[in-house]
Amino acid sequence: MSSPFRVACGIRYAASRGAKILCMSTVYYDFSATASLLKDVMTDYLSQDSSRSIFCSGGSDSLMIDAGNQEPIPSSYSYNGLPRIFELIAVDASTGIPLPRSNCRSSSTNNSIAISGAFNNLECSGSDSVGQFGGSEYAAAKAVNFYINTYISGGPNYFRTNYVSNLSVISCQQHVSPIQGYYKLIPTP
Amino acid sequence: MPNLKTLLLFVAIFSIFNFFMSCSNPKETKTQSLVPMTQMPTIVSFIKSGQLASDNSNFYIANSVAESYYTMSDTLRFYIQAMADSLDGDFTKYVYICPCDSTLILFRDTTAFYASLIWPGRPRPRRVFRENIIVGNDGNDCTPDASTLVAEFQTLLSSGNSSNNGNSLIVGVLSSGFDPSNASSILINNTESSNLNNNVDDDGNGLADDIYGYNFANSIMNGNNLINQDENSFDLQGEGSGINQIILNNSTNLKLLPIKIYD
Repeated sequence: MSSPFRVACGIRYAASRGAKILCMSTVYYDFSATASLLKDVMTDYLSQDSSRSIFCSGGSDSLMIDAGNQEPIPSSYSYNGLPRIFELIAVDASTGIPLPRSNCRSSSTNNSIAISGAFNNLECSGSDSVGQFGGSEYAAAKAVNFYINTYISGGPNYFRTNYVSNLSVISCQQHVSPIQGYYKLIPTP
Repeated sequence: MPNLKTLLLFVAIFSIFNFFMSCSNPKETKTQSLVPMTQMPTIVSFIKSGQLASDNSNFYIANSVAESYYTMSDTLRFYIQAMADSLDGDFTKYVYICPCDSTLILFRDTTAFYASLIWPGRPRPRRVFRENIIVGNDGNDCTPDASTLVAEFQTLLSSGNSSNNGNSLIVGVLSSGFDPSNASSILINNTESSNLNNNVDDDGNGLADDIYGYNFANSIMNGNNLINQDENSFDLQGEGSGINQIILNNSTNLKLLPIKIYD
């Protein structure tokens, strides 16, 4: 089982090894001092080099959707003060509905970047077994790939188009979903 | 020389005066119990570039401190954390950076979330809501939203290859590890001994055997070093391998740094 402390250690290590981009497929509902440490470490990572960025999964299973109206970390840091953190969620390509394993919470309604066409439960083989993953974990990895391919293959004279054409803004409450009951509208004044 | 009776009368009058003074200013007493009044000027003084303003005792606004939060000293963080700790420990409730202009706002108590704010030199926010929504007098929502993040993403993309510098771009993947079949795409630590599991920290970075990234999921302290309990950062369940494959798809000049944080 993972913990924010392990993630914090991992980020420190990544910084020491020169990583410019972090892809994080972990989500916690942990608001202990350890989680505070994680935010400090992420802040340090981003502040030391403006070319660094972090791509986070927006969430995971529907059971954890908006648990106790608490925001998950670290993806919620994307709209709580830290720069260059991107929260990614996955939506169905044709309907725009968030995929079952892609969290869509009250706060993500206007904050997440959605990757459309992200398939649910992709099969992948590890050393010992075949596992499945999808949803926002897929979306985060896909966003990193998209980002890398765009700016590495570009070169100094590349033609700039709408780089985020494959990314769409999502507003959960506008979609019909079996789990819509979990969504909460952002209050308006 | 005043006699004893006069002295006692003077002490009694002074005590009664002090008692009435403390009763007539309950707000100050309450505030002191929440946040040490002497600490706030100290906190504010650390924001060197800020033009400070306060229209009541509930909050301070530091103006023109873009990015200062991200580069602030540990000392300032300590003070802000201390301020939050003196309330309910929730740091994020008392520090907010307006996404519109990176203005740093230090809240002294939660009632400030409903207070009108003075916004020096900028549109005056009308109200601040608990759900991290700020609405300006012009009706514009200053809350960071997807368009803000997408714009930030675009900026990041359009910054070109400044962070590449002709070398391989290193991507840290915090997941369940990597598949050895992808070893050619893994950042190898050549300063560590090639003996994968000798439990020796050859390069002295505090982590033993971090040749192919590191396994934080199954590591233990051994003196001042962390050592792996199993085969480095190999993926045993497939998720990390899949993530790595997606990132590597059609990518060149790229090295992955596996950071195993779970099995």
